[in-house]
Amino acid sequence: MTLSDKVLAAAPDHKEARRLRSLAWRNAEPSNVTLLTPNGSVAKSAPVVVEKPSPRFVLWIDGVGGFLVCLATRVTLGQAVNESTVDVPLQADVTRVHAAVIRDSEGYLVEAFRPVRLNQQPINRSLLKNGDTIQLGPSCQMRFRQPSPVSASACLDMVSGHRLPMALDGVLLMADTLILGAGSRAHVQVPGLKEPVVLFRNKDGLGVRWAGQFLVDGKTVLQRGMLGWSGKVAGEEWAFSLEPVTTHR
Amino acid sequence: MKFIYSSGQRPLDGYTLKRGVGKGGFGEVYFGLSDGGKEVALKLLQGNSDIELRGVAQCLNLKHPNLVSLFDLKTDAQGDPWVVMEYVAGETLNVVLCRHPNGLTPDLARQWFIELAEAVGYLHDHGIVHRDLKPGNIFLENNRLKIGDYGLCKFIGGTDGSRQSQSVGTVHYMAPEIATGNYNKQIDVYAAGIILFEMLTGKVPFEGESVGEILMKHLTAQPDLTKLPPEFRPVVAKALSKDPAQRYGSMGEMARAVEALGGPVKNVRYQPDRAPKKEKPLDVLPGEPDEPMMTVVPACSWRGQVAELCGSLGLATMVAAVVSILWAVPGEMKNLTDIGSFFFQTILVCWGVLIPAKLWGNSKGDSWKRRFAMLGVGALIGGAALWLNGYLPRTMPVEISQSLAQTPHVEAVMPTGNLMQVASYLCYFGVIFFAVRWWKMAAPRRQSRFSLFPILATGFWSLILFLIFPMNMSTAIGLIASAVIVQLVSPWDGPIVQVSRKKAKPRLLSA
Repeated sequence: MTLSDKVLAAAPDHKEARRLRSLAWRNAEPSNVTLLTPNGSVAKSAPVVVEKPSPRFVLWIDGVGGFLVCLATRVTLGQAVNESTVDVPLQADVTRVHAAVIRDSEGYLVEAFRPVRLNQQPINRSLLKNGDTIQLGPSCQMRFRQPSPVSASACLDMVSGHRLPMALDGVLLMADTLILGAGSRAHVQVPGLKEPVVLFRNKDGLGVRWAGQFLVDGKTVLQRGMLGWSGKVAGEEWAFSLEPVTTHR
Repeated sequence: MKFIYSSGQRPLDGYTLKRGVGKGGFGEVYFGLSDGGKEVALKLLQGNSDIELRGVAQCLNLKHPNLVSLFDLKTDAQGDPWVVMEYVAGETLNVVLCRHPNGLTPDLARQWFIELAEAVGYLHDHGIVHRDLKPGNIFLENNRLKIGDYGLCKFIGGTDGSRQSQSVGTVHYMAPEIATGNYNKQIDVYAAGIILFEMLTGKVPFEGESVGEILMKHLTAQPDLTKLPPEFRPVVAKALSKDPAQRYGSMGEMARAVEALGGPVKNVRYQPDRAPKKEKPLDVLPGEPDEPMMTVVPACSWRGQVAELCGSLGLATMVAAVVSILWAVPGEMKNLTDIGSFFFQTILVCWGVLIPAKLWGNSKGDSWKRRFAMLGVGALIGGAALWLNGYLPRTMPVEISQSLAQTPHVEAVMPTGNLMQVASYLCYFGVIFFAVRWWKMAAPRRQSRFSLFPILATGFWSLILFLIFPMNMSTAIGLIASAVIVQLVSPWDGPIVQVSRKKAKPRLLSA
């Protein structure tokens, strides 16, 4: 590193030296970051792992909004950068891999790699309950919602005005089903929808359930239709499409 | 909402549509991304006239922090014009006011009204009348108010006001002089007055059953100002004057008047409380509406699965009890122990099927592996059935049952000469569990809720085995009854519908 510094001092534009220096800096970085717990004691070192993004897609609902749907049981949150490897990229003052939200049989919990507050209280790892506010870094806030008693899926709504890519309106953590409906018990509120549209997981894709006839990729189906991880679904008065999110590797 | 274009289409070169956003009288609005990644709103103008387009073109280069920016005016391959504009992610004032049916706080109403007035004043200053000011055209993004839809606006052509070919604006915000067709920027002052009234009270001043009634009220009725905070009354009254000349001369003047009410305008941050409200549980849960109660609640979590299983097991027990009692007469059962033995065997078989079937769920596993697993379960149940039957005095010599009372070990009481009996019990149950695919009767996604075929299959095999391994008739009947019970008590989510999928395996799966 010092050698590359010297070379750079002599020739500031030397490409190779720059590259080597940045490499050296990267190597010098600790792979484990020690976190301070709220009471000041040193916590167990939490490894900041660069994880492979898990299956995700964007649900574009006409007249309603766009939602990032994460299917994995462990969803990472971090800064939206070009080579972002997190599941939920945020345009906010957060680190590249800032926290994770994990779903298990008991519910959801948030795990902090960097400072995270839950309802204003600093935490390392905590269970999430409906209505909790998670704050990543100094300002980026989102609300955790688990609106439906019949589905383990949850929602993360941005409340601090920070942005998701493509002006997406929220994140949906899909367990088994997603309910699109008019009431507050739906994961996505679609005003005026009389019968809820239910998206459910299937072995190799998603299924759609709705009380009536609708189109799946142009084909008419009754009550239930299957699609892969992408496609277009349209009923009489509603329509949505799934767009797989390309994983940046 | 039906939209002409769907996600992924590119009617305009350089932009990909992602979803429909909304519809207005003038056309559809989509959210899209430019190839460079800029988020835009794309408005397709349908049934447009040249006047409208000239209006949009005139507004293209206006800049104000409280106006939705217009980026470009484009024409697609069909010749339809599109307006490319700033995508505003927030809600409309309409939505906000719906959440506050009794109006906003005066501080917030003042703050927003001043932003509104500044923007409309800027438009007037550049010779443009909005003509369609209404909460539905006003957006709130990050606590900043932005006015949209001013593409519809017309030029202020001199002072006389020229006759318009098309009726403009939304009737609740329509100034009385629009009826005469002779109007100018004063109609925006009037509409702003109505919006101020609505922000403070949650309601428009003139409501009615029909368009005609509302228009008539605009022309003749006096607004009820008593609902307003007292300091706002003179301002609203002046803005809502029937005579345009009596209103504020400009939006700037009206903004100053509102600013002068009360102290300095604080920057109030609007925080819509989107926390879910407590509500009573839904009576009918989403999903299959017309199925028995047991299957309506989709058991999704682990806990749900366990609960569902317990439900099935309990129900199986109850049905088994009923079947046992019914079978008591034709089965020539003489005493309670006979019935009890039959009952317990039936429960064991049902539970022995329901528990592994729950573990396997709908997944398609190797059928042979499952058969062998079930063989083991069957053998265990066979052993238990033997113990049950053997324990009971009917098939056991009296002296053995007496010795049983003294000996705690059941194995010890098994007479060695009964080895054949042991083998036949184990084989009988083992083979029937192996031969019949029991787990299919309990799969949530079986073809139909209740099917006769597995019952016939069970009957067939129990008969065959009955001939090989001499067995109590009740045992065979118990098995057939179990096949019925298992199907009755297992939740059913409907069959899997096979729909051909045209999409190739998506990329994200390989990630």
